[in-house]
Amino acid sequence: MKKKILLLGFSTAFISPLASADNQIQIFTHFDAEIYTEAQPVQAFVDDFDAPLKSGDSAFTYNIFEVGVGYGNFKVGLQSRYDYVLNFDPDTAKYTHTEKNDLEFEDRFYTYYLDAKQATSNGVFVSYDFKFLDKNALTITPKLSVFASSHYQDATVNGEIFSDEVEGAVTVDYNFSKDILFKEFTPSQKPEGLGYSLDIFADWQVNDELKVGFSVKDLLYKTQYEDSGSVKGQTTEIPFSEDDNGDIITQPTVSLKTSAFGNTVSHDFEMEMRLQAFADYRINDRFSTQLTLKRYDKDTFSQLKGRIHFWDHWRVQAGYETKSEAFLVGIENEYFGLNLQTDSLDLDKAYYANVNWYVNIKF
Amino acid sequence: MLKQIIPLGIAIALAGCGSSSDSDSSESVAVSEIATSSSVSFYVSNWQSPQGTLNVLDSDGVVQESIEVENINTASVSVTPLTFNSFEFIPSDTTLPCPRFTGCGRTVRGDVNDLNANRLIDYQELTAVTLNYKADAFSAPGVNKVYLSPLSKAITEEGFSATQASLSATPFYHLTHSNLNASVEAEMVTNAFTYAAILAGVADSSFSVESAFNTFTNLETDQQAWQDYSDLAAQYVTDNLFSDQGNALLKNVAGQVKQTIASVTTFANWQARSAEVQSLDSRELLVDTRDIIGVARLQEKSYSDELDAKFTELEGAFDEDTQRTLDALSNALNEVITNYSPLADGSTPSGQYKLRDLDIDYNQSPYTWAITGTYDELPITIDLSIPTFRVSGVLGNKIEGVMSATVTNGATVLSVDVSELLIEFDGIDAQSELNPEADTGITQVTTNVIINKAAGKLEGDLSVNLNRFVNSLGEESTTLSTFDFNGDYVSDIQNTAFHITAVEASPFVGEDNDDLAFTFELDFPFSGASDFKFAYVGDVENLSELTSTDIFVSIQNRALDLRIRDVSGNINLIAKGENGRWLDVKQKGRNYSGGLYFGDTKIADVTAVRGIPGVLFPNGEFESLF
Repeated sequence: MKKKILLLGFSTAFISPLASADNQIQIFTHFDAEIYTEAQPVQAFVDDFDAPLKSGDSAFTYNIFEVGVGYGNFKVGLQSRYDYVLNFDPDTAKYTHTEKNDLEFEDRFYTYYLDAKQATSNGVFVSYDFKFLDKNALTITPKLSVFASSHYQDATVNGEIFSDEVEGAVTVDYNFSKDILFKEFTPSQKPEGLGYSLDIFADWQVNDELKVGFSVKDLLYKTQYEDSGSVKGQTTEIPFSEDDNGDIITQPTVSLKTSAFGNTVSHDFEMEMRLQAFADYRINDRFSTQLTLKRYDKDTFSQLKGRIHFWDHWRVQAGYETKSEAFLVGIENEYFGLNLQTDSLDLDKAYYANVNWYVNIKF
Repeated sequence: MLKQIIPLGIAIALAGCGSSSDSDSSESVAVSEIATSSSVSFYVSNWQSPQGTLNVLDSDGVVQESIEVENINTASVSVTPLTFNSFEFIPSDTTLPCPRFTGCGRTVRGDVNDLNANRLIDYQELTAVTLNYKADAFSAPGVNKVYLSPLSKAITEEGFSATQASLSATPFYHLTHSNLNASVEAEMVTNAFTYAAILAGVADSSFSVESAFNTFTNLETDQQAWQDYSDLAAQYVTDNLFSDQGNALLKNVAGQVKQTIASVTTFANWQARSAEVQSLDSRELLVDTRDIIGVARLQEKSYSDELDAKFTELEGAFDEDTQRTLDALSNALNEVITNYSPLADGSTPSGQYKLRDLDIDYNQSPYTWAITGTYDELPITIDLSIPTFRVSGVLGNKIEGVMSATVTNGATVLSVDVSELLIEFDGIDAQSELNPEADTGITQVTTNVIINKAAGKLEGDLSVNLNRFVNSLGEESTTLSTFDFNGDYVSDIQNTAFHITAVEASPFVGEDNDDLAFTFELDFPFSGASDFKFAYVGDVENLSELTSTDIFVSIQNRALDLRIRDVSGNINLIAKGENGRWLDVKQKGRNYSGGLYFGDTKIADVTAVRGIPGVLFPNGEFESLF
């Protein structure tokens, strides 16, 4: 319902926050899909975890589609997001890989740690370009999004498991719209989430050759889900013990507090911020280069791009990114851009992929 | 099991949750707000006139309600659920007829009750005995049935809990919603304890069940009255099985009834009844179930290795060889005594006799027998000396003496080491139309025996009843009617107290003793259960089977009736706990269903989370079964 109201509240266009705004009115659309996995290639990660195991402790995908209008420095638009962030212990990846491939377990405790967050949201955003300095060389753009969400997962599983034995203690803190973990406690009605996020973008044209920029996405991010599914609890390492008389004392191997029978909860969902900084250097009319640093949670990516400029405002670019080991190619101008980035053209072997395009129509 | 819950992990996967939520969540079962009511109906043995006054008393003994009932057996009262009450029945007509088919023995000349003036109180002639009926019961939600008898009154007046003694989750005189199908057994047990009270009262007008019970529970030295009462209660079973007028329903539950009577009348650890306040949604049954699963490792669908080893050894100890040695000893004694003693027709003189393959050296002053040879193909020697010899038409003949004996059957050697021997004859000689000449009656042989087996040793008190009766062909036949063996089994791996009973359930059908209903009660401490108690009715070979099993188990003084059924891999476990709580778990592959109940009220659902069976409460809490 909220979603519909939010959608109704809109009809007109917007702009990419970093696009220039010489024209008074513009219509804008933008799509960015980025996926990265460690331990396994994306395909194996999602499916059977059957590729050779590499060390790793994280995986994520961020996907955003926006359409909107801009007038002067002011932009509003519609936004859809699908984000998924997973942190895990390398030992947990090893455990999963061993189990899924029927390999021999070691006789030891495996660390079991997972922290997964996933949300699908639809909403609106508004941003304003604050211009500073001579020739408006510095632009600072706060962007506020307000969205509704009825699909999300927020799970933490933490503990240890001994080999493949019935031994180990694990705690679970799981909130969700659909129970994909236990397949038992999906609430009969989808939860209703209302959230907001705040991004900050800044770029500074230092001189004719050098431009630097900085962005913080999800500086603030919070969604409150009402009537949410929930499972909290633990498994016990040793369910049976004996007292001084030699009599058994037991506790349940698994005890959970769940949202079954309408015992749904209210849950606050938060996301980590993502940092990005770049320096763009115009070498001459024909060439430019850009160095970008991305910091997503604990992972840092460094990217170097080279560009060739041609015709009027057209440019093709190519680059390479550390950590993801991905190559990038793209073509852009003021009104249109398309960039593709991956570490392998054989998608079965890719650990990283990014598709990004935009269209700007100015009046 | 953890393994089953764990792969949740990374498989939360990047797949995400699309828009179409094809929810496979469990249906929301309406078990939330629970309202309950309790009712109680009654049973009084039909020797007693059913009309009278029913008093409902609260836990302080204050009468809450007093109702005139036409028929106590059809009366029903509503009570506050989850309360402790007692119920008292005062019959309008206090007279009681003789309940024994063979009559209740001799009486004085001119007894007004001796309608046919044969100086015998015949079956159904009135006796001078009057009885009182009372029982306490916890009012579980739903229907309760209370079985009133003089013994339930004695236990109630003393404030004892009869749960452990009854080898059942509820006392033998109280059934709740989940065990109402055990009503035939409960009726038969009630009949037995009522029957015994009438017969004991006829034999001794000063007899009182309550005072006999007190001497028993106080461990006083003279427990003869209690012993007589116990024997008579057990006799109800054989009296009915061995009479064509007997209760036809008894045959199917003969083993259970015999076991309950044997346990209640020998139970040594009477404790005060708990009046702990019960809450509807208590999880105590889950704890009890988990405890027994934990110690017996039942989740593996077999017993723990330790338990299994003990059971296997016990199965070997109570095998056919053992039974044959016991049969041979008691039958040889019975046959020799009835033929070569003052009891024999014409009182056999001293001398050397031969009975088939037995040589008998019989002397009369004092009475001694030296018996050697083979009986039923087993080598046997018996030395018997009997200083007293009571021959009585009223009380029955009684022989008290000292015996040494050995019976050898391969590796199984039964020996009696200068032990006291008691042989009693009931003195009842019922005339048979088919064979009026036949001597009929019951012989009871009681002694202490030791049976050495290859792996261990059984030692205990043996009591055997032999019934001489006229079979359908008009022939005189002697058969083992009941068997009661109470002692210890000692081996390298265990020291187990046992109480084994057997009763011939179909004496008129087929060969002698081909339908012995065996029962086992075993007390053995083992890892995690210092007071483990186990009871079972059925063949000894099936003791360690867990596929179709009804057993009673108790640890830490918490009683559970477990019923396990495995039908082509579909398993059903019903665990009945104290006060009418019960748990029903049905497993089909990885699916579990069922419920946790209190009487007729469901308080939680049984379900599985990632293949792990557990109980899901209305407040959303999930607790695994083990």
